Order: sequence, then C-alpha cells, then structure tokens
Amino acid sequence: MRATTDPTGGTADRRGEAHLWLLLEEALLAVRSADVEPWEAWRSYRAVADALISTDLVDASVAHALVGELDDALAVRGVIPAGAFSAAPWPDVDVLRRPRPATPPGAATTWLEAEIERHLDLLASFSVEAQGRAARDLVRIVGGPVRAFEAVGHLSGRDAVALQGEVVASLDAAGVDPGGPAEPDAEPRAEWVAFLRNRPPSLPEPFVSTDARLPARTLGPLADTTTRLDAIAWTTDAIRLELTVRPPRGEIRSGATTAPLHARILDDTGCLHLGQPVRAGRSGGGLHVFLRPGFGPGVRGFDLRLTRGGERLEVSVPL
Amino acid sequence: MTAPAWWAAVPAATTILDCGDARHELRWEAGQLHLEGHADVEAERTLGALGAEVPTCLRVRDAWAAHATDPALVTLGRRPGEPGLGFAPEHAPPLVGGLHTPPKRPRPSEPGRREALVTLLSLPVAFVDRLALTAMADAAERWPDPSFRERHGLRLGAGLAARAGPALHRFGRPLAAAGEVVLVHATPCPPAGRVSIRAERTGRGVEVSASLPISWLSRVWGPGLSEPDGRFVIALRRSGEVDVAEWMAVGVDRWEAERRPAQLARNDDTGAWRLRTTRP
Repeated sequence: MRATTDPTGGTADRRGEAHLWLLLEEALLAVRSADVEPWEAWRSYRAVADALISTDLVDASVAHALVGELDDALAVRGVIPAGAFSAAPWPDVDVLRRPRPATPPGAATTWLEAEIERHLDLLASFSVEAQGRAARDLVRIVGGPVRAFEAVGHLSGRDAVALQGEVVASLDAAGVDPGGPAEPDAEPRAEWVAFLRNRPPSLPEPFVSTDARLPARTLGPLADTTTRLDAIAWTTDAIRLELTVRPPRGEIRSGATTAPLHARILDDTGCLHLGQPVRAGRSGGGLHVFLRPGFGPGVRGFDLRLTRGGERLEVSVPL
Repeated sequence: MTAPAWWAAVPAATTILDCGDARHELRWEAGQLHLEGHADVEAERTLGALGAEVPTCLRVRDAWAAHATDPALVTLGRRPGEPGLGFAPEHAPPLVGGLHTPPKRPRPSEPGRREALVTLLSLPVAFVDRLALTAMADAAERWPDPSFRERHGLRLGAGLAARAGPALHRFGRPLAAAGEVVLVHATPCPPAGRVSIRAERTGRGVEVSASLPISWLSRVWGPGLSEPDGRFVIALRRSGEVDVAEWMAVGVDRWEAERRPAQLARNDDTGAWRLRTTRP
C-alpha cells in the first residue's frame, strides 16, 4: 500500500508527513499480526519519526502529533493502556505551513551512518548470545528510516540498498548473525568489522586518563552551531572529548540544533572509536563525549567526525 | 434521481445505557442518534448547568453532537478485518467516569475533547463504526475546501488507502501471474476529479493505481457495499444500483477499469449483498 499523491495540493515538503501517515496505517496492520510485537511496531514508528525530525524533513510538532495519533489508535484497540489516549488536537494549518530549513544533500546518509554506528557501539556491549538478536534488531530498526528517506526523495534506491548491504555484510564478516544474507556485491566496512570483532570493553567508571592534549581548537560550523575541541584525554580503554558548543544568536532552529551530537574517531592506525550521542542544552555549553576503545600505542593523530541531525563536520587532529 | 444519503444503506443500531437509576435505549438510525427515556432534554441540560449530575445519555448525545465530525475518528475507526475496538467501561481512563456508572461529581457543562471522545469510544463497536462513518461523510462534504484538505488531506488519504487497499488488491489479483506481486496505490480524487482505476505490469509486479472520492468511504465501504460477489464497487448510483469495476486492456500489460451498472440485493439468509450486472 502506498499513497503516492499529496491530495492537499500543498508543498512537496509534506512528503515526510505523508510517509508517517502511511506508516501509521502499516503499524495498525502490523499490530494485528501475530508475528509483530506491538511495542516493536511502536518503536519502529518512533525511529522513523525521529529520523525525519532530526534531518528537518518534517516539522517536529507534526511528527510528535502523529506519534500521538498512533498512540490513540493503539489505545482504543487495547494494544497499549487506555490511559495513553490523549486526543491531542491536530496542528493548525499555520503549523503545517511553517517553513523549515532546507535539508542539505547527503543528510540522509549522514544521519544513517551515525545511527548505524550508535547501534554498533551498543551491539559491542552485548554478550555473544544476545548479539544475534541485537543485530537483527539493528537491521530492522535502521530499515525504517532508510525507507522513509527514500520515500521523501533524500536517498536513492541504489544508495539505500548499498548502505543496508554494507551493514549486513559487516555484521556477517564480524561473525554476528544479521538474520539474512547480504546482497551479493555488498562489501563490509573494514572499520565496522574490526570494531565488532575487537569487542571493546565497557567505558571505565570513573574515567582516569593516562594522557591528554589540549587542542583548544575551533572545529567549525555544524548545524548552525560552532564547536570547539577543548581537550582530549585517553586510556587504552576509552577516550574523553571535551567540547564546547555555541549555538547561533537568535532563535534556535528546531530539529538539527537540538538534535544530539554524535562523535566518532578513526585513528591513523585504522581503529574505529564509537560512543553514544550526547545532547547539548539549548544555550549550548560544554560537553563530555566518551568513546571506546581508547588509543593504543603508536597513534599519532585521528580523524574526528561530528554529526548532528543530517549534518557532519570532519577534521583531522594531530596528537 | 440523486444518490441516496450516505446512511441509507447503514442499518440501525441500538444499545442500552445505564443512566442513573434507569436503563435507557440509545439508537442510531438514518444518520442520527436518538435517546429514549429523556422527555425534556433541555430541562435536564439546564439542571446540569446548575450543578446537577448530567445523565449518561445526555453526555453521550452532547459528545456525539460536538465531535462526530472530527476527522480523527477516521484514524481511530476500524480498518477492514478488525474484530472490534473501543474502551471497555472498566478500562476507561480515570479522568472520565465509567460510561455505565453515575459520575461522582457534576460533570463540566462542556467536557473537553478527550473526555468526549473517550465517552463515545466506550460505546458498543456498532456505534463507534457509525461514528467513524459520520466523520467520513462530513469529510467528503468538506473536501472541496482547500484549507480543510490542507489540514486533513493526508490523514484522509491514508485512511482511504487503508480501507480501499485490500479490496483493490483482490480486484487486481486476477491480472497477476501465479506468484506475481500486486501493489496498490490508492489516493483521493481532487474535488470534482474523475474516478480512475488503472493497472500496469512493471518490474515490481502488477501495480494498481486508484483515484477514489473520499465519499467512497461513507457511501460504499462503510455500508459494506465495496465487494459484493467479489466485485469492486466504484460508486452507489441510487438505491439498489451501483457501478462495479471491470478491467479492460488498453495496451500490453496495461488495463483500465470501466464502470458497469449493476443492481444490488441483500441475501435474506446471510445478509450479504449480492449483485446482478446490467449492461447498458
């Protein structure tokens, strides 16, 4: 089932909203299936809504209203508790017409790669027995945003297949069951495979560094913010980045500037370091980002990638 | 002769409500909700405004009057194949008293939207179905309004696709080879637009694309007229007469549906609709 024509005669930017309405109907169909756990259907829906909000492809209040619509439909069906029924009013046309910043080209791929790496970091924490199910969850959960970006025209079919193929091939090459075969010509990403195979230990608590540098370097603009790398400290198990984020003056844009910040490092020995995203306050300020594993011997520098929403900043940092 | 009202083919529904110390009949018929047992509704409404307990029947009637045309009901209402839905009285959210128990304190004279919808969605499913149909019929009336379409068009389009999709899938199935996928794309017609149903074999399978009026929901799907004898009904022309769709080849691996008039009759034993095709 697919609604391909916007009957509103409105702007093409309504494609994100149209896709979420389509997914709502699919979610209602899915929860009637014995094969789908209702909360998983809800989680998948939220994952797509969050992806479209983060990349400014749908207004956040419209997406949240749609999540509320799904909640209400599930509540009246007894799938979730009746107390979840909110009957919140649908946004007025002024909200639906509200202009949003243009989504830059490549935003979908940028967002997806950060989200995949966020999941890989989580996956590395699971036991070998649990990793298989977590891997299949990863493939399924990421599949929703992939399809959404394709539907709204921000990811080509070929790129969608290629990215999903890389994920499956990487999981398979790392010895983790992805739940299905990879595309025949899909290539695993070496850094993803190595990260999963190496199974980095959990972040140490407390973090006590064995070495540190103070670059005090402004990295550049990212989604209407400016980020500075103040310090980097590490052990062999973990890295701590100290960042300062300054939002622009004036009204803070919805979506990307309030989207969490995702950091990853690829050092000059080819080792990938991943962690979980952090969220800056609306007024900006300091952030501590923890990545794992730490730096081994012989690391002389690294490439730092920061992602916020659908935008990315990459810099090389010597140690 | 014009097409009959949307509710003409929808049978009446009745239920009994516990209303204070009495049990009253609530009946839906001919597009309207009817209360039995309340001879002077306005007097009871005045007493309610002065702080007396508002009878359950009046709460239901007021909620229906205020919210029966809410487009959200198209999303909340049943889809094809769903056995039932609605809040069981004992599971209704704590903010709203159970439908069949007297309220513990005077109800506000104008309950909020949430409270009203919970009240309505606690009725038997036959009433919830008719509530959703009322909203669909109202949406069809308002469809020519550009601001209404702008605000609710995507919701209604998805609701139409969900309800027409399964029937269109079955309609397109005979065009597909064994094992071939049938994909359906159903969208609402623009105001004064033409109904069209087309099919084409592509690399993905047989793709059926349908443009249907929003009124199809209340006039055809709601009364259960969409697939008599396995045929797809496009429109209700007048009482007992419909237009059914028939595929005509218009090229290699391309088809368009044409309208064929047919007469409807209800099977006395099963209550199912049957039809007899009449050629012009």
